Formats: sequence, C-alpha cells, structure tokens
Amino acid sequence: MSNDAIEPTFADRARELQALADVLLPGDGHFPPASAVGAHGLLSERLRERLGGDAVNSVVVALETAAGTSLAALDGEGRIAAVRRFAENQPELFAAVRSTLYFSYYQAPLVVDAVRALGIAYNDAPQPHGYLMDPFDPTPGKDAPSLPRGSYIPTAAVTRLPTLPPATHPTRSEQ
Amino acid sequence: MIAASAGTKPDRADVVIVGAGVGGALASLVLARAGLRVVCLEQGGWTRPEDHPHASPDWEWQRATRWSTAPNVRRLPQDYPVDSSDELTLMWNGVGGSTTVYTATWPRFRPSDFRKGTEHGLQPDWPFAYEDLAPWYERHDQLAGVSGLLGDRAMPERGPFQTRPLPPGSLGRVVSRGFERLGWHWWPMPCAIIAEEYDGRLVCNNCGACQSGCPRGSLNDVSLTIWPKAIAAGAELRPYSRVERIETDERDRASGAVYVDRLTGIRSMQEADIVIVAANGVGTPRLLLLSESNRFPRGLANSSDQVGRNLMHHGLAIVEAWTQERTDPHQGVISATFISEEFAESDPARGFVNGFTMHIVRLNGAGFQANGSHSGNVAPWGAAHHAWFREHFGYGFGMLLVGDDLPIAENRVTLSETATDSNGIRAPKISYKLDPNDRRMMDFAIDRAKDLAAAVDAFDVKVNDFTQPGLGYAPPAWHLLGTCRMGSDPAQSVVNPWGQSWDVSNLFIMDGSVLPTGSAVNPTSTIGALTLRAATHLRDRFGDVRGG
Repeated sequence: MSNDAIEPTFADRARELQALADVLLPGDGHFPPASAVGAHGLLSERLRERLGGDAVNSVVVALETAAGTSLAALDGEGRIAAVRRFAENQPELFAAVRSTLYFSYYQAPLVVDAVRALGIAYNDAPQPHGYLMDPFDPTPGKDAPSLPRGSYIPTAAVTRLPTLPPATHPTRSEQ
Repeated sequence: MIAASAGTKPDRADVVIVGAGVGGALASLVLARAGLRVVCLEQGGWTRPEDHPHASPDWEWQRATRWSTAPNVRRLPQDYPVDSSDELTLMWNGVGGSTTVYTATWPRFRPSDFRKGTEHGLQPDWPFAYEDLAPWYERHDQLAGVSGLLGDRAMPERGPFQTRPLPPGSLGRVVSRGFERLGWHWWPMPCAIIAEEYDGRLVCNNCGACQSGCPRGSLNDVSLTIWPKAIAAGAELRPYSRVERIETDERDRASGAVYVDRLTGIRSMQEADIVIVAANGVGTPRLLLLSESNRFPRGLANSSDQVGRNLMHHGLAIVEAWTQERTDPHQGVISATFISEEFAESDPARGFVNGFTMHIVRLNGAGFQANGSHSGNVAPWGAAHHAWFREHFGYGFGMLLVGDDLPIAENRVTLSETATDSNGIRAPKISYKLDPNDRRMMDFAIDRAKDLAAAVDAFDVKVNDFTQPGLGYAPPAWHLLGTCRMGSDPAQSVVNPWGQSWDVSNLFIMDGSVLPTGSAVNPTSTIGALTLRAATHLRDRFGDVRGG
C-alpha cells in the first residue's frame, strides 16, 4: 500500500478477516462457513500469538495489496482471485493464516457436530472419553499375521558383508 | 533473565544427577533404593495431568504451539533454544523429560545393531552384545509396562509383555491385508502404553493424542511411573534448577554441579561424590562443553574430542496414504499398530548398508489432518475443501520410515556463538547432514512405502522426505543419540561400557548420548535398559568409584 493510503479501521480489519475466512472455508450444504462459527475471531487472536501484535494488520495489508481494494468489497470470484494472489505473493504468511484457520475451524462445536454427522465417532476433545475400540485379537489372521514372517541375524552370525555400497561421507568417524 | 545471586551450598549428596528424564529417573530409582543420597537437578518443573491439553477443545492448537515438541516453537522459560538450520530439534525440558510428550514406541535394537563394526565398519561395534543388554530390557519393561505380542520371528525370543497389544482398529485390518499381499514381515508394535491394568495405572482409552503426553498415566511418562517410586525411595528431585557447569577438583574429579534456581535466581553448588549427566544427546554434550576449564580446555571428559560428535537422529521419512476403506486414524494410540522389520538388516544389493523399519501410524484430529498430518498433504482451501475432507478424514494412515543413520564426526553439537537460554547460558548449535548412504536408504524406504500404499489400493499418497528448498534434508529430530558415545577405546569414545567417563572417573553419562549406533527403531527402551545396567553397576561398586 502507498504511504498515503488510508489506514484500515478496526471494523475494516474485522470485515477483511471475515471475508478471508469465508473464501478459505466457504461452507457447503453440510459444513458451515468459517465465519459462521466464529473461526475468524480465533484467527485474529492466534495470528497475534503466532506472529506478533501486528500480524492482523500485516494480513490485511497483504490482502488489500493483492485485491487492489478491500477484499470485502469484491464479489465472490474477485475474492478468490485476490486470495490466490495473496498466496502467491506471500506464501509463508498465507500458509500461517491457512493453518491457523483450519485449527480454529475444526475445534468449533458445530463443525465437530458436522464431522460426527458424517458417521464418524469424533470427540470434542480426546479426553475424558477417548474412543471405544475392540481389544486386540491374537487369533492368527485377525490382528496378528496368519503366517509369521521375519528373521534376524544372531550375534554370533554377524560377519563382514561381502561387498560394500559406494563410498559415503568423507568425514565419517574412522572405526 | 534473572540475575543469579551469590552462591549457596546445599548439603552434600552421594550422587547428583542432571536431568529428570528417563535416564535421570531410572538412575535415581536404582541409587536411592540402595540408600544413597541422590539429588536430581531439573531445569523444568512438573507437569500435572490437568496441564495437558487433552480435555480442551483447542487441543490441536495447543499441540501446535505451547505443547509443540520443538523447544524452538514453544519457547518456554524452561527451554533452551537450539541454534540450527539443519533440523527442528525436538525434546521436552521438565520432570519426565521427553517421555512427557513422546509416543512410547518400544521396539528393541537388533543383535546386529551391536556389531556394525564387524558387519561393515562404517559404524563401531558396541563394547558388549545384545545378549548382555537383554536382561536389562526385561527389567526396564517391568517398570515401564509394555504392551505387545510374543512370537515375533524378526527378533530374538524375549520375556513376557506386561499387557496384550493395544487395539489395531480398522486401520490395522486394512493395512495388514496390504502386508499380507506383499508377503512382508509385520507385527504388533510394542508400546510402553498399557492395554490392561498394570501397576495401578489406568488403561489407555485410545484417545489418540499421545504426542501431547498422557494425562491418564497409561503411557510410560516417567514423571508418573518412575519418579514417584524414586522419591518414595528417598531421592530428592529439585525442579527449576538449571545446571550451568560441572565443577572439578584438584584431582580432576567431578566435585558437583553449579546450578541456577530459575524461580529465585539463586546460584548454588550441589556437591556430590558422583556426578551423573542425563540431559539427553544435545543437553549432555552442551553441558560438558560448557564445563571447560584450564585443565579441560576442550570441555569436560573430552580428551578424545568425541563430545558432541557422531550425532544420530535416524533417517526419517513419512508417507501417508488414503484408502476407500475406513481407518479412523484419529482413534487409538498414534504408533500402536504395526512395525515391519522386513528391511531392517543390511543388504548391500540395495545400494546401502544398514536397514530401516516401517511403522504404521495414525494421523491425529481433524484440524491436524486438514493441515497435512505428518506428510504435508494439506487440504485445499476454497470450494474444494469440504469434499477433500469427506474423502480423506477417516480414511488415511501413515508409514513412518526410520533408518539407521551413520555416525558422522561432523554431525555434531557445539556451542552457539549467538544464542543463549533465559539464564544467559550458551545454547547448543547443531550441524547435521544425512550421509549419502542414508539418503539412498531413505529413498529405497519411500519406494517400499509406496508399494504398501499400492497394496491397499490407496487413492491418494503423499511423501514427506523432509527436504526443503534451499535447506535440503531438514527433519524433525526426535532421537538425540551418539554425542558422548561409549566404547572400549578411550581415544575413540567418551565413556566406557558402564557409562563412566574415561577422563573423569566419578563422572557418568546415562542417556541417549552414549549410544554408539542408533539402530532403526525408537531408542527409549534401549536408553532405559542401558541406564539400569550402568546404574546397577555403579551401585554395586559405589565404594570403589567414590574412593577414586
């Protein structure tokens, strides 16, 4: 942005993060969009934790540079194109945003419910319940091999290999 | 940083131990039970069960940040930075050491691992054989509580497991069919996580978050399994005590450890007749190098110039695959399905010496899986995200490839010129490059993992060989081995077969730094067995060692 650009207000920044979150995780008929579960709020908090106090502003500036205007002012296709440019221009910052948003999204209770609704047992958190699993069945062919395989070289049978592979690192310890 | 105050002098101990991880805990147990006054100094604090993130909805975020296994990510006060662009060093600094956050994967080394000097000469022979260590593996297992199945033909006969194996689940049944189709060895992975009641501990409830530790105590976190016994036997564990150097006397014997109380800034000298360093394969050489003096200008116990050298981590790659069948890889112990030792022995026809093992592993929760799990297969953003998630979540598994890396003299721990910890003590600097032999091995291993993915009809496969643009191979480094290796020759090793310094007769090392080779499996089972062997030997000869 140019030096004489108008500094985005806090409301602007919030709208930009909300728009970004919904471009990255737009939702479908089953999963809610990111902003509907508040993931963009956690995103701002965690970007600060991960990248420092100016992180949100850095993301907003990067977005508006990529968009040429406010991301929120663009239509759907325009937003996607702008975010794609953001990812290309600043891949490390974009990757941090994306990973932080994914973590924030998948901890939301409604998203956990949506995962469960796929028919998958999935807890709000690993404890205290854990997961019920069938105990190990030692019957061959069940949880153990039907035909045990494998071998090892006993101590007394270890001898010099007949050939050695190509030379290795020159600074290896001499032994 | 808190400025250290003038020194204090606690009561003299028979033994001072630096580090409260698996080595420090087991050594404390053995020596305290013998009636010796044992003081263990640990720079971190205790972790309470409720401190773990397992019951919080943000458990995955915590796992990625303050519960990261990398001190350079966590940056907690008890951590020290690791100066390296060659790797992401992993460890936990606190009571329990890295057993606080590990997977408790518990295979043993193979007999040939102790004879690599004989086999090809690119690694040393150990100063003793597998058979010498076998009884100590058994004793360690009894303390740790190990789940597993007898009858594995890929390993020597062994004593009983404490519990049956952990549940392999639907993932196990899918992957075992692939192994059977290929005709490869596979076997339930031994884990120091209990599947049945043992030693008053809760049975694992398959929550799947082992990499943030185990608040139930089902997993062998030595802060929960060993330290209570050691303290009951009389050992004194002094947390928040950061050791900055080992002092020596006019007879060139260790006289004790100088440490800073991180809470008060008070510096103290803990005198003792015997000093044991158990600060892991990075912390131990760091401390010995920090303990340089006019008499020991290259650092303590370093007349061989081997302190810090020969760093091994294991060659590492992860391949993940997704199948049409449900695997539910968010459920169950992360590493407790199978191990394949099909390629664990050397076969020069493959173009490299040594071997690797393949571990079938799980993938954590939804956020972690969307972020690429262990392989970097990150879910796409935008409209395609949710379709990707439906196809992948619940249908994947990982193949962790662990190779026996060669000990290279220039792969080493030194002292950083720039980085310090929160007490101003110089941080370690790590240089680590994968030997071409080991690169060939890991490439071969990746191809075999692709074979297994094909054998289960995987529809998507992602390879993480930990190669980064501009950096080359830069892996997460969990196993910190070899930097103060034991041997029979004082010119080529730091300690003798009992962990005793060749240079300083009342200084012992009991952690992963003494391993001459790293095998192709997780080392904690072996580190503990070695510690029990060395500590028992010290106990039985304590008077002689104390007398010098």
